[in-house]
Amino acid sequence: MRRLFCVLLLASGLVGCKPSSPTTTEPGEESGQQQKVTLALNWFPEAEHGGYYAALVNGHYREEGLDVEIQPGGPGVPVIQNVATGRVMFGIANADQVLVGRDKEADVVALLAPLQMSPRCIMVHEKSGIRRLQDLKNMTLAVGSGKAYLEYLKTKVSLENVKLVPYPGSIAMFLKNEDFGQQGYVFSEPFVASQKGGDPHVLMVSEIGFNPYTSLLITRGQTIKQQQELVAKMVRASARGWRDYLQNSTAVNEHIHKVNPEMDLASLAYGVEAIKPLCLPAELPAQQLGQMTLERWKTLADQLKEIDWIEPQFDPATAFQARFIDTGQQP
Amino acid sequence: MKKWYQQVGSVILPPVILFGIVLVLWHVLVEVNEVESYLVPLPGDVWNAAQGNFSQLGQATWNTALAAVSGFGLSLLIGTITAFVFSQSVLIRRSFYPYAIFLQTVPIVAIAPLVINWFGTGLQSVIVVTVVISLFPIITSVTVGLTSVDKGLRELFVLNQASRWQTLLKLRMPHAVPYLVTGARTSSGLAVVGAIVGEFFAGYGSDHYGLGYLILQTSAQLRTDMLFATILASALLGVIMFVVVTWIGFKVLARWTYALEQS
Amino acid sequence: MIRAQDLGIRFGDNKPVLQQVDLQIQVNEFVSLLGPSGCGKSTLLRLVAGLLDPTEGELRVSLETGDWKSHVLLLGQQGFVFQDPTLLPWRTVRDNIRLPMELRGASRAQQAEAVRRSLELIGLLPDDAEKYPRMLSGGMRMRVSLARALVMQPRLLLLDEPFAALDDMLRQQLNEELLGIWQQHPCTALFVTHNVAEAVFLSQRVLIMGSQPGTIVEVIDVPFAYPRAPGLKVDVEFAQLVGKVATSLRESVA
Repeated sequence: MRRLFCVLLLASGLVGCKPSSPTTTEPGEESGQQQKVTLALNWFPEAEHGGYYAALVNGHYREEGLDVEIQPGGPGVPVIQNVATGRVMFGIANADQVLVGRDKEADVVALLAPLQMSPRCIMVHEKSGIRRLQDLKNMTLAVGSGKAYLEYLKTKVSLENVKLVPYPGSIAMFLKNEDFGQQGYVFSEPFVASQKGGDPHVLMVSEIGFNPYTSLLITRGQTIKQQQELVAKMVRASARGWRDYLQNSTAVNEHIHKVNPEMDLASLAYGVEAIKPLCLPAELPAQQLGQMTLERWKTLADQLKEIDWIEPQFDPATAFQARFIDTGQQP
Repeated sequence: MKKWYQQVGSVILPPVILFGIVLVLWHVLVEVNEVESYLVPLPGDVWNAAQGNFSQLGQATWNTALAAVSGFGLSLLIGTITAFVFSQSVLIRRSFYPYAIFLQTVPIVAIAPLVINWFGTGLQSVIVVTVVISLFPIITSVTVGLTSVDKGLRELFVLNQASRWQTLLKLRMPHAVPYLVTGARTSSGLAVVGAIVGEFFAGYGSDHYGLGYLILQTSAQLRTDMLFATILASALLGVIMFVVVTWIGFKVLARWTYALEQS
Repeated sequence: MIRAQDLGIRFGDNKPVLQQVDLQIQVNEFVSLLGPSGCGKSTLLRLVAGLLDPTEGELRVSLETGDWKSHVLLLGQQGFVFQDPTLLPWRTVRDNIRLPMELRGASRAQQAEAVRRSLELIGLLPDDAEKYPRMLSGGMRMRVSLARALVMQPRLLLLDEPFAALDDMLRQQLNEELLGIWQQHPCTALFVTHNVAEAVFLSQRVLIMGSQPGTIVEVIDVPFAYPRAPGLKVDVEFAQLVGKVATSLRESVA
């Protein structure tokens, strides 16, 4: 049975992994005036994808001659693999995922970092009195599996007598139990919790220095080489979309609500407000939205090396390509 | 008459040789096509990953085995008792059977939140999911075993004025044993699957790190070599459980071979 | 011992399987029910056994007191030998034989004694007693079935074509053994078969059954004395009687 398993695994793996040839079926074909492009989201459509939807809804993609199809994601969607193998042209991922992917020979490159600050947080009860991550003790903490931030958190914080349990996907358990905390995004779970009468208190993971760029636009290295113009257009239009979204989000949020009815308009409105300081933190001017620095990437790479998630000799320089970010252009 | 080592050899050698061929083919195909490591690792890398993380892999396998065996045992118990009840009345059978089928077909992802709600997170929930997935074959097989006794045997008991209880104890239950063994063999494989799936949804955390958790963890980290190793460990666990249950079945059924030959 | 008047049985709304059956069987008589396949002889046997209830007519038994009661009383008082050995495969020969006593709650000692007696009667060795049915030949399994039927020393022995599945030589051998046992422990025996020579060899009376619906069409006496030696089968008179019975049987079908 073991050998049969090997054979099946091997067969299915090899069937799926042949990189699509660069000639025939590559997306980006002309469709009248517009080039067809796919953009795969890493979760259900939410405020963290708002700028990309804005670029779609407000016509920025169309202006650049791009017919963009935004594919909603969900739990377990392998965006890195899909982009690296060419199944989709562009994707959304977080910086730690990009580094881990590249370390394992997946050729993904980050192009734009709309969220400069990570929205990753731990939500606890106001009543608990916990005000810092270091104070997480004597409680139950619900976390997802395979998350780099958690491994990093474990090395920096004692987590004494903290019982780790699976992330439940809803805030029901949080509302029920007092000694309970869970992971979340700052613009999402805490809002829902307060709406339901809970008393959430937010602890930003970026406080301990773990602060990966979030909601990055990524593509395949090969695509950058072979379709530079296309990539430039995509980045430009996306950046415009983000600038739009931060100023005027109503129409876009309606669209997001349409594609993801689970997200109600109030949550989305709250989400936009909460995201603004993450996209444009104090020191960043609006034109430089999406900016990426080598220093930030190096810091993240070192942190991932610390927790043994990437090889010590890995060089993050090739993980991102900032030249398409048009810092001078007016919105 | 073959010597014992010739007999063993003729059974073991073919699959082992095939395994060797597959390994070589695997290695060559990956190298030649320059397949990236996050997609398909080299067999050598899988081995290194397994070796390098042996204690983690071993611990995870042990945890999953614990859940699988406990869940399997519970399935045997609950399934047998349920079959028992089902065998007593056609009306009961007709009323409850559809729900047993429902239990078999409802997707675990739908049940998982309920399970966590009632049982909390941790080993106990994993066991619950294991039971849900491995219970059905026991119920069906034992019910059939209890109710499909030959007419002649049943008449024998009636002729001797056996009570309902005597018939159940001395006729139906021994008759059902071969069927129980058949059901158990199917159920044992499912129990391993159930434990791992249970760990996906309901059971990982500081209380219980099993193979399911390891699969989630390594696939998120794109550590495909370790992922392969984990999957192989899971398959191995499934095979071992199946073989052990089959072996026990053989022992138990030693006297029944007459019945087996007949059927 | 057994008296049936106008006995009949039908299942549901179908045609009756048995109709207007009259018979009388005396204590310690050996009687054969002879008929073609499907004539209802097994059904009649099961009626007598108490496994089935008649839908017409009357079936009464008397356990030697002349006090006629319902046939259901016979349940538990008879030994029944099926066409198939009907042994429990998960039990040894010994455990199979003692089953009737076990079901009645006899003590272990009583069971052991009865089994020993039965084994001796049938001619089975103590070694055989520990074997499982799957280890035995067809003939041996039938002997065990017989031993089980006799373990309670029943007053009535019912046999449903017990040797039909065995080869001819074995059948004849078991016929002789059966007669030997019956003579050692007299009881009323009702033997169902479709083999004419077997019916004539074994019994004092042969009840010939016709089918559709099943009923007793003729009763033929067999005048030979017991013990009956195997040599009887080549006796002229025996052969003539067999011929006569065979003819009657053929006519009953026509």
